[in-house]
Amino acid sequence: MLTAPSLLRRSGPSRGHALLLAFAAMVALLSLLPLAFVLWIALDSGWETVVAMVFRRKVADLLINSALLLGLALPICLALAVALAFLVERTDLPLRKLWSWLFVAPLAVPAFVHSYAWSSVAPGFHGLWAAVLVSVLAYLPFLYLPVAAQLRRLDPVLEETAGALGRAPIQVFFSVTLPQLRLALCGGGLLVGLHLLAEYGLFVLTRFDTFATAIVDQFQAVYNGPAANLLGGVLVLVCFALLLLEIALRGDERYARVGSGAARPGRRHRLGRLAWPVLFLLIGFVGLTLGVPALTLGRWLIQGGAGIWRLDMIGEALWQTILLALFGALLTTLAAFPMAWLSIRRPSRLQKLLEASHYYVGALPGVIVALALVTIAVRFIQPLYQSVPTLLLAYMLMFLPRALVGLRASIAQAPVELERVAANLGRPPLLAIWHTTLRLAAPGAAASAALVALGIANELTGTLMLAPNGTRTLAMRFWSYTSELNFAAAAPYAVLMVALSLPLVVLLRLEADGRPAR
Amino acid sequence: MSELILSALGKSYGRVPAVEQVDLTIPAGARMAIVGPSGSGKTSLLRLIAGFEAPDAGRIILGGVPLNDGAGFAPPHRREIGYVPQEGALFPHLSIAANIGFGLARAPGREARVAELLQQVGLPYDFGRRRPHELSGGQQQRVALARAMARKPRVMLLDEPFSALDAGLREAMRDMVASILGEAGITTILVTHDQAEALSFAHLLAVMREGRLIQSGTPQALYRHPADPATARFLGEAIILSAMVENGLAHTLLGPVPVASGPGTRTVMLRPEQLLLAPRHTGAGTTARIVSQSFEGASWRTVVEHLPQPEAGEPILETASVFTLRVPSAMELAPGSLVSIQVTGSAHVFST
Repeated sequence: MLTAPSLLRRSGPSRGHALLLAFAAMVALLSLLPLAFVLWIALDSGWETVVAMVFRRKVADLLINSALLLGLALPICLALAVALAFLVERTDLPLRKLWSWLFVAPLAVPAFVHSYAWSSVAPGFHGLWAAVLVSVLAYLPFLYLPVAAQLRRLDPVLEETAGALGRAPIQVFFSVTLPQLRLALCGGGLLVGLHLLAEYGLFVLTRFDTFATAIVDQFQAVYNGPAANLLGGVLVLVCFALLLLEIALRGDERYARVGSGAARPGRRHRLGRLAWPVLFLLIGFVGLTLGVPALTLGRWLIQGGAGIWRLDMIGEALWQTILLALFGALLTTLAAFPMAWLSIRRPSRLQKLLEASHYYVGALPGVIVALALVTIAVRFIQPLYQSVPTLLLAYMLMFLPRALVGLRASIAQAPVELERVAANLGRPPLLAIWHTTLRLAAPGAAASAALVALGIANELTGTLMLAPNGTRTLAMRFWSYTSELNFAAAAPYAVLMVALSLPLVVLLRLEADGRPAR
Repeated sequence: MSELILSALGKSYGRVPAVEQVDLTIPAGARMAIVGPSGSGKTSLLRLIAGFEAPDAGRIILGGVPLNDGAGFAPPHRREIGYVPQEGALFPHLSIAANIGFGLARAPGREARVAELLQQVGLPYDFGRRRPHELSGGQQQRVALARAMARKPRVMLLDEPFSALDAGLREAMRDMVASILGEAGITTILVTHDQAEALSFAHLLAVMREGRLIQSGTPQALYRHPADPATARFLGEAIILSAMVENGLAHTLLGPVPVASGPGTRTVMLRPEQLLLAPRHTGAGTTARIVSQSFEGASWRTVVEHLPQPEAGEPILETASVFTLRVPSAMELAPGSLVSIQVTGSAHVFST
């Protein structure tokens, strides 16, 4: 029996644990700000304003545009992703490894640089079809990556069994292979859909109106007007509708492999005479995704000559971009750590709730986060309006899920026993975590911080709306030159953004290869 | 019912031969077990028969019709060969009924056939609505069998279908599968690395090693007359001794044992059950000392050390050895005590 009262502590979470919980709750509350903002706008504006602002022709047009864009671009992306992944993973296509990198590489080119390339190649190519084409080219990798990874992991025994049961290969594909890809298709499709709803630069250049472009236009015309805010509210509803649709389509069935026998790689189908036509099609496709941006940038760089390399301005933009990206990534990673640790080590109902609010905010377009922070700053904390802390907070909210996913995975790999042993050797809880899990999770945390930093480096919408006067990131410089149709002067910034994004491609590909199916 | 003939079948992956020069005939309606250690090529052989891989050499002939020749190759879905993989591999996105009906045409009577198959494998009718992950391993295997039976295949291939089940269930499943396939008269090939399973399931046994077919025949013939010491050990515990054979008697350290072989120096095999242990004072046989005993319920697993026999005047090549034998559970022997070993029956002489 313990006699020393100082050894006893009432049961319940330790102080370290409580501290982490409090911190995670605070981040979760911050994450709820955008949603609270939308609700507050709806209530504050009054029913009549809401009706007048929402039930009007403009909003109907934007809804139709969004529906057309999603309805056309998503099916095309889904079909292309499956076709390309199948060619790489399941046929004897020559140079498969090279192709799979080439299919992911468009990620290194920010979406608005894709559309910059297209609008300088084909200046008259505008409207819905231009928007669909450039969206498909820019966002396809988000679907290709999970579909290819899932296809690689599928146990070929299912397909073989279906063959032995009398189904021809094409029937096997539709009745067995494709249903197994459902989770990857749903998840990737949702990601592409949310990007389409959030994207601003791409659609401005293809002159296609979406909620994001309309909100930014309104915002730039009348700061913090009810029109922009209410459009934001409708956009949030559209995003939630997409999330619900994905949940409904995903279903709750299990798709994991039945059993645990060693999986062999699937047998590759012979392309035979189709090999050459397929190769030509793929070369043509890569010409559109990578060739067009590369050629345009090359052309503008040559035309612009040395004159466009204003090193003072470029250096300043690069420096500012790097600083914002590093501090944003650091803040986001630190903010995500308590939640990541709790969700691995202390799962509970409260933790699930907090975690959900960490995740949902990533589904919101940057314009919404920016609108919310602008409004809150203007109304309540004036000095924070157009300040660096607000901008960093916006980055944190936008990229929180990215950091959380990576951190969770790396914390899950650090055995909990080590924390216990450290506690057993006399370390108090927080120090025990610091000396064991944090050290072991560091490489994974660095990788996810890098993903966040790269995201911030190319972020345009939120940065345009929130950055203090005088801020000039690469994306902002690029955007202002492009808006003046000074394509040559914009080219060096585009090249730098592509160079900065190359590690993103490598990281995302490695992550998709390593992460098991849900 | 169809006879399956493999002739000079070969398949290699890169430079590694997986199956080499396999000739094997499986009579119509027979149950054959292909056994061998892992990596022996038995699963590769099965995949060639199923048509999941194309052979590099040789032919597969089913019911008189070749499934491959120089130019052509019948794809799996045209072969009418059923396949039950390890762990069942049920389609996780389909219900049990849809899994079983997967190979059946959408025609009237499909539902009735599914119900009939469910009953045949001993599952209640309402299991049809369930999902694969809601079933236990044994139940999943039954569904996999029913699914493969649905198309009334000419040959059924079973790829270690019982290995994931626990011991008691495994025997019950084995008996059930054997009786269902036997009633339907389907030619069956079972691949397994478990010799006990092979011996009890099959009419015929084929032993593979390093891609080659070492020996085939009835289980009894292979158990008593294995082609080589490795096969002997694979099919059960074996006591392998060097012996001098003269006049139909093999002179071993356990004494003279009758054999059917010409004279000379030979390697012979006895199965442990041919050795009888008795307390030393009962007389006959050679002397041994108990090293240790461990209790197994019905028997004692007993390690004995055979002692050099002082009075041996015979031409013996080995003088001492340690064997593991099983003795009835009533016969507890103290370590160190002396026993006599008596050999019954005859010894098998390896031809090499």
